[in-house]
Amino acid sequence: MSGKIRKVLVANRGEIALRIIRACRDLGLETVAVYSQADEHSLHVKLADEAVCIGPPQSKLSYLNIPFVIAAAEVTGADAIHPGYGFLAENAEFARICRECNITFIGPSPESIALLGDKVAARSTATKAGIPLLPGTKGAVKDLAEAEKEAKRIGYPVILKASAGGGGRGIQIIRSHENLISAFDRVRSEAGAAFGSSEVYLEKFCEHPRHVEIQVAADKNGNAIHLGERDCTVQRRHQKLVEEAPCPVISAETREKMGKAALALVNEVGYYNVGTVEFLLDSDHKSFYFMEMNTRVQVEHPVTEMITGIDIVKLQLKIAAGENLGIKQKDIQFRGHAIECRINAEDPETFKPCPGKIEELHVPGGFGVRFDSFIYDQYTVVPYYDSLLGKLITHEENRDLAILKMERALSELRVGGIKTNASFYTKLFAHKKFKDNQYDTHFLEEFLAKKS
Amino acid sequence: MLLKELEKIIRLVEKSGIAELEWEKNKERIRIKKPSSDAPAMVNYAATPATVMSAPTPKSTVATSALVEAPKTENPRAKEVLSPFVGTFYASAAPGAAKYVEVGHRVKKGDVLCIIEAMKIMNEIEAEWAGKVVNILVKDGQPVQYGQALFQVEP
Repeated sequence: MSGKIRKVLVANRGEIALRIIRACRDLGLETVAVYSQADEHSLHVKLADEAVCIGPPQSKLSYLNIPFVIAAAEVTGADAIHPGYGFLAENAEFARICRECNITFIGPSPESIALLGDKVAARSTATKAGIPLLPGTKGAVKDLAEAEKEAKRIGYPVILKASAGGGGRGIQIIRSHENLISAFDRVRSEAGAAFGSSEVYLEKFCEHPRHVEIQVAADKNGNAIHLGERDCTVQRRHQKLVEEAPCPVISAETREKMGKAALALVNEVGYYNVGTVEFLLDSDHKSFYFMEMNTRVQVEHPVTEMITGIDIVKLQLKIAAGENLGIKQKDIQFRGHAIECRINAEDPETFKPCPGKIEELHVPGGFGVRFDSFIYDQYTVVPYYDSLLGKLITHEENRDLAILKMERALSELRVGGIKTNASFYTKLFAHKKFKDNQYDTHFLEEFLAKKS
Repeated sequence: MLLKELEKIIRLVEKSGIAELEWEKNKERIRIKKPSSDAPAMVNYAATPATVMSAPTPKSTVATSALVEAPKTENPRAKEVLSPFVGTFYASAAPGAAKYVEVGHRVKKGDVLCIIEAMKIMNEIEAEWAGKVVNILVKDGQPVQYGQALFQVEP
């Protein structure tokens, strides 16, 4: 590691804080943990070289409290801050303050965060880079005549959306011209009543989309590579539950195209750090559309690590220190198949959070099994933060074997005293559609609806 | 025991090499403990030259908190003044200036007790209740964390 980074403050908690502390230690870097009063007994506090309490349990007053995080770096002499994911990871203002305080932010420049965090700016940057976007109207459509013209251009089915809508409301799928005529005024007046604005726009509707994302890494010296894709199609309310690499339905040619598109965006922005470019994959499994870019390390990064043999967090630290990537695109090889299940402190039936004391713990093991977690026997899961307890990852020669190994690993996992969603995965993997790879982003909702 | 006598004893202990003194007479019992004498080793905050590929010095498997708290006086009536910030504790307004408060001082509600510096901003910490300062738990220039006890003030 270059002399630029010597001591890293980890501005996060839970499994990702441990993941970062471990990577730092593997590179001979010192670590500082910050924690809220609720996390006094959390493992990141115990494993870091130093620990500083920065506030009360509420995230807003502790993990999201920029002045206190910076002050903790100052009093401990940390010269770099790793934000993990969530909390301050994609906060451009925080990255800017780090820069002003001469602290290396282990992430992209504040300018990149701001640009890619703005949906409109990100889309226009993607267009400049020549990346396909989901076809749609440039802005709001003013009347039915314009909507008819645009729908014809985009091609049915289309989706009619309220500009001010969100969370799945103010949306209507339009399959034909007749559909559009009957729905247009109704959606407009509904939007006006619900959101205070009757502005609507049109977008192409993907019938059976999959969520596929490309992992990228770029250094500060202009070198950029991609580490292939991850398929995160199994989602519940936009919350990813199962992630796998590689995506089982795309060809090597499509992978290559997606990777090139992701790198075109990286170059257009002048981005450095690791990052993820998210695409919507259409039912033909060839057409893909840019959705957004995440400018942080992702929860699901381990599946990529397993199939490429590259430590993504270590790479991130190297990039932040100003070093070259040290790997070329032609050196990247994909080996086998990896799957990750997010083990949450949740009721497996209702998905309701289930904090409490862990009375018994057995962690699965064996060749090709990895459990990235922060829990221990007698640890009390606190109710203030997300319910992620750990990520169970299996790596095998192919998808079928990786699933089989995951089923075995899940059967070994025991978390006593609290409920986890582990048994949900056992049921999911037994489902034919999952095994046969015949599913889309709506699969889980259908699967759960049938169950109840 | 008169306050003056107690102050005298404290001063004597301060000057001496004694770390702790316990004294019982009739029904009175006092215990004086010097905060600095046996406090666990502080983390060194002095600037260390950046070393290339430096291996971490061996550490215990369970990391100790960087911000060590000083021993407290066992005084059931004293209430603790807690740090509302992460930062650096300063006992006086400027280097060399008189300390805001000393042990034995009486403070009014709203009196400045110390300064906590965070992000180059000096935050004055005020007394939230009137009383007597019975212990100062941190040293000038010491880093403190959120919720750390700074003073014991007996209302």
